[in-house]
Order: sequence, then C-alpha cells, then structure tokens
Amino acid sequence: MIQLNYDPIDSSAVIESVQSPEAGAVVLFLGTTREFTAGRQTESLDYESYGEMAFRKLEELEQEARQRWSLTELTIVHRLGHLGIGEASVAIAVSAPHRKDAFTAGQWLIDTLKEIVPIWKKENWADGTSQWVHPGMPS
Amino acid sequence: MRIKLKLFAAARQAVNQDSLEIELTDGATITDLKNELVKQFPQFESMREHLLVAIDAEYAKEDQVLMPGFEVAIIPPVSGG
Repeated sequence: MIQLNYDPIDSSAVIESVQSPEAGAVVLFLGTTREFTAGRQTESLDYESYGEMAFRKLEELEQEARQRWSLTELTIVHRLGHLGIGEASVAIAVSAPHRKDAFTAGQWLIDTLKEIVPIWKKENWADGTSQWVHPGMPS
Repeated sequence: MRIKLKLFAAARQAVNQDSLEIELTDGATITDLKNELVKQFPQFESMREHLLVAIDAEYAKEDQVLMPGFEVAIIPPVSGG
C-alpha cells in the first residue's frame, strides 16, 4: 500500500496493514522530524511533493523490493504539509516470512526513497528563517 | 515551441510561482532547456548543475528531446523521508 497524505501517520495502522499469517517478521521504520540539525534548532518542517511522480516512484520501489526479496506485505506512507517536531514524516512497514528479508528490504526502501522520490522538506528554523533542503546544492 | 515547467521547493521559491513557460526551438533537449532556463531566469544559475528534469513524471536524460504537450518538471535534489 502506498499513501501520500496530509494526515498524521497512524503507525499502528501501518503495522496492521502488513500483518499476515504468512509473515514471520514485521519491520517498521519511522522517519521522525528532528529538532536539532548540526546544532541548529528547527521549529517545524513543511513537506511538498510532485504528487503524481512521487506516487509512481513509490510504486516502482514496491515492485522492485518485491522482486529482490521474498516479502509478504509492504506499506509506504509519506506525510506532506506542515509538521511539528517529533512527528512521523514517513513510515515504511515490511512483512516477510523471514526477518532478514524484512530488515534488508526496509533499509533499501528508505535509502532509495530519500534518493529518488520527488518529495522535499523545508526547515523552518527557530530563528524565524526557513530553507528548502536540497542535498549537495548550495543554498 | 512553448513548454510549461512545473516547479518545486527552492526552484519554485526562486521565481515565487509554481510553474513558468519557456520558449524553446523545436528539437530542444533537456540540456537546451536548462541553458534557456538559466538565460531567461538567472536566479537558477547556482542550482543549474543540481537540477534534474522529469518528463511525464519520469526522470529524463540530458539528450532527451522535448515535444509540445509533454508535462515537464524541474526537480531539485530531493529531501523526503
């Protein structure tokens, strides 16, 4: 299941969505909004996406993960809009017959999501300034 | 031909609008598009080498040729998660 939405992420519902009698392992990754980055304080974050492309890319990630590992169920939920500190911005849940596939696929999914899925975050710093985060690009 | 560009994040902020239109010669590639974008909107100069372009919601290669009617988006380095 792939979701991009503006509502708070219900991690229990995400776990339930991948539970299955065929699975011997469930791995959940939550990305949460961090207060301090390199000593600088964040007050809130805003996420935006190129929705149509982000959804398509997430579907491709699901397909590739299912080809590479033996998985039972897979859910990716990414939140958009305005988030306070300590909230979940992304949830990835993977179930598999065996734990190694669930761990490996979960790690690959979040790493690859962060590389290719067109979603961006803006840091709203505690000093009142804000900045889009674009890794590798001069600000 | 006139191509409409979708803009996101810092690229959107650079011109304070979520899309813009750019005039390109027929047969223009992604590289030509980036060159013309920087020429017409110098505020993209510093981000140029970091920008990817998507055509119809798929990453495009530098030598891909643009056609009228394509949905074209400027994709600055992503930062989801």
